Amino acid sequence: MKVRLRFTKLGKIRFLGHRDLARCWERAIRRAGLPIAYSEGFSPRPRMHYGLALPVGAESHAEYMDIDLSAEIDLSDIAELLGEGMPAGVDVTGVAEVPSNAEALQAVVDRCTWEFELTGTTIDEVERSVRDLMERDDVPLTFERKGKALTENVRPALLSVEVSPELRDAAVVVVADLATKPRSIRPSEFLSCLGGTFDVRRTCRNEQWMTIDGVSEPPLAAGTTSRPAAEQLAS
Amino acid sequence: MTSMWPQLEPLLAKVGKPARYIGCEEGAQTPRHGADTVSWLLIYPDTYEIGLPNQGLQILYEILNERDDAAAERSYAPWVDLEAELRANGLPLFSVDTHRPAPLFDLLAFNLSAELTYTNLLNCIDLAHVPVRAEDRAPHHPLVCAGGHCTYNPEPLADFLDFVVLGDGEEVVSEVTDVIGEWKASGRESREEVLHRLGLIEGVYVPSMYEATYDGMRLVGVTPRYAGIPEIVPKRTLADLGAWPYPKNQLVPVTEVVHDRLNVEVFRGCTRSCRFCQAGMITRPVRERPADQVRTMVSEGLRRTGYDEVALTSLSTADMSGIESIVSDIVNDPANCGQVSVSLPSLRVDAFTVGVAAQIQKARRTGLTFAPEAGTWRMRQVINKLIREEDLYGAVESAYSQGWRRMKLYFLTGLPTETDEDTLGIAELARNVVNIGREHHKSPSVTVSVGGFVPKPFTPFQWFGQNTSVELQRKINLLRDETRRERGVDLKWHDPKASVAEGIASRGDRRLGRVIEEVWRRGGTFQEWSEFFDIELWEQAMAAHGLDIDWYVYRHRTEDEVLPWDHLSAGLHKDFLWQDWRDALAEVGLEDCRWTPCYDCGACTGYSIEHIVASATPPAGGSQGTGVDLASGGAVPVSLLPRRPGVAV
Repeated sequence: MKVRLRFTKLGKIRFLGHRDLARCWERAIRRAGLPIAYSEGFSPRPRMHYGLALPVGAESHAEYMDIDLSAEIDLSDIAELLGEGMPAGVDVTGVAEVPSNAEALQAVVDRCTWEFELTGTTIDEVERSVRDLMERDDVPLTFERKGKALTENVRPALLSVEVSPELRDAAVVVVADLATKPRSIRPSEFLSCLGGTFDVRRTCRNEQWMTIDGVSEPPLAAGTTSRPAAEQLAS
Repeated sequence: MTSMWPQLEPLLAKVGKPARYIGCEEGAQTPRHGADTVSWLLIYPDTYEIGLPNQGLQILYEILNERDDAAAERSYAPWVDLEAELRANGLPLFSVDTHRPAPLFDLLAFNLSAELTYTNLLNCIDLAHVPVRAEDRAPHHPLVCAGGHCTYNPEPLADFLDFVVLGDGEEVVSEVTDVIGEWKASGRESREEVLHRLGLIEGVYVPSMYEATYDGMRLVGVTPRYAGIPEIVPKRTLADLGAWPYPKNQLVPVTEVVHDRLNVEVFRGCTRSCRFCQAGMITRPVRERPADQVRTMVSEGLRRTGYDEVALTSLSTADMSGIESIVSDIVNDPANCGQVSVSLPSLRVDAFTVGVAAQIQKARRTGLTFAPEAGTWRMRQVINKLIREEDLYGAVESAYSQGWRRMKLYFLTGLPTETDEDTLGIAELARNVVNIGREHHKSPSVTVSVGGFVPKPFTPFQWFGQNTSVELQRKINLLRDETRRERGVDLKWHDPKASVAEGIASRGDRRLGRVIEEVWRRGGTFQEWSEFFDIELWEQAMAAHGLDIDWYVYRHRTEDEVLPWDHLSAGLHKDFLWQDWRDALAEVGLEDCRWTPCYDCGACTGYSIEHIVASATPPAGGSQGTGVDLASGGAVPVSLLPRRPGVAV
């Protein structure tokens, strides 16, 4: 059976990289005694499928992972069992069976909601920068791919950007919906497109979204412990 | 400020591998600090990745935190990027457990496992906002101490360490805690007073309580300044490893480290008596952990940690009594679902040992490592690494035929009496190993790793004048030329210049303190990292303080010379070591005293303790220097092979 997990990555553990986190999951799954399926071949690996990587240093309320189990099991205690084996800050907030042919998380997610806390600036200043940015049709971003500098218009990836009317602990809160397809823009790239000077105190992925039949929804809602609309996830 | 986390957070966003600094390990503790607790900051003076797995540090961490009146946290040397950020922001070194600032601890306790970390030790003291020289410290400063193998010659660090602990730390760490606790309760006034009391604990050496006297360059002696302070400080030795089943909660790091697996120490000490090996000499006698305790520690550890690999650690794990049944029990334990692999670091070189390895390494059978250490039987008799060529070839044949493809062979060069024939013997062995491999695979590969030999205190080779870096390089070049056209042989070597710096620190005296301080002040940290190692810093610092590398490193010592560590004791009689040195030069081997009569080296007799081994007969495998086939095990080898064919010992 294929099981989808939703989890957080908050606090100190935000400085842990994607690959290291994957190794933590492998140990937590073994500790929980889950009948994880292994890949075939000379060097068998547990069959685990991760969603979009989170930049080191960013927090998240909405990370996802699919795991293949070699047996059908009752999922009711799984969130707690797995959470015990994970470092503080990683909490399993949703578990559900998904169809074995469910499309890969990396392929199905088309946008992410990010929340930023910016210090050393004001609400007015950030609002002005956001307005300037969103009014433009062309937002060129230069990045490096395979040692070559490329410039692309990333404006289509900026779906919506909002500035909270209130400060949080002296920081300006910005919430941005950034596309991951067809071209994705990283949260750090988005901030570099935003004019003005500021320090980034916190970057947090609040949600990831996929579109099914024109409806946008998370791969798994927080608090889910049962089977989601399985038919919809089937590819 | 008891947690620096808010100040650290923005800095960690700017540095590489920030997960090194967050702690969050499974098994990490959040100890209670208070006026009535003695707080220890246990520091490994190298990166987190190197330091975290250190078992000694983890053992003390647990023992201390089990006490109501002690609290222990951990720290590691911050990499140069974070160090720069800390210094720029006026922030001190911190613990990874609760990010508590280092200056708030009562003790900074260092694990010293390698000489090239000495400058990192100074850097960590400085980053803790503590004066690096012990004489400059005030009562409110933490006490700075060290343990670990390098402390058997602590003299080069005498200026910087308030005290040193020799030998097994499990018991003495509590005795030290008691003394510090009383000192704190009584108002923590005089540093001299607490150091004097520490100096009376068996196994504790307080350098400032001793005076070193010289006659020109010659050391006359290191003697106590006060009555009651021992003239000779003995090491501490646990009588029974089974009474100390630590670590009980081995730390599971969230980021990848070296030896990232469950480690269970199966025995401590080794009496194979390899003459170059300091670890084997200073950790005697052999104390095995009961097999049942090993099984329990493995099964509980695997369940708790979620690791899929366990290493049974010791200086020579194939020598553990009943090793075959221990490993088969682990592999066949249904709880482990067949997904657990067992590794045996320091494999003995023989086919039997490979057989054990084959039994347990069912998955991922990639490479095996052997350490013949020298290229000819003559040379191996000198160093008492009694492996016959047949043993190596048998081991390799067994490994290739059972699916291993890559062999790694460790050698030393620059050994006493080594000739070019001995050096080139390394290439010969490697070539033969590749040829054996060709019978099993199309393109077998053998990595030959050559290190320059650095003589260590409390070994029979402590009197030997180390080869110069030029000579070591010449030998490496000989090997390089010899193996250049040899397909399948991949030669790797350690930088001979690093061996010089290691040699300076290894057998130096107190006068080296100024040199180490100068290397550190001129930016020479992380000297065991090739990208930072700089021999010129060491050469210039030696010259600046009028000290001669030839004298300290390359010179042979004489029998009557006072050595800088003569006022310390690893239990070994100096005359035993001298006799063993003469025997080495005569190419005479020495039996393993676990299964032959005691030759009174001093390690047992001086402490009224004995080997603790479940079986007093030698393990199966190879010839073990006897020339007799011991493949089935059990027979006591009565005598070693004569040093030359046909000549009786």
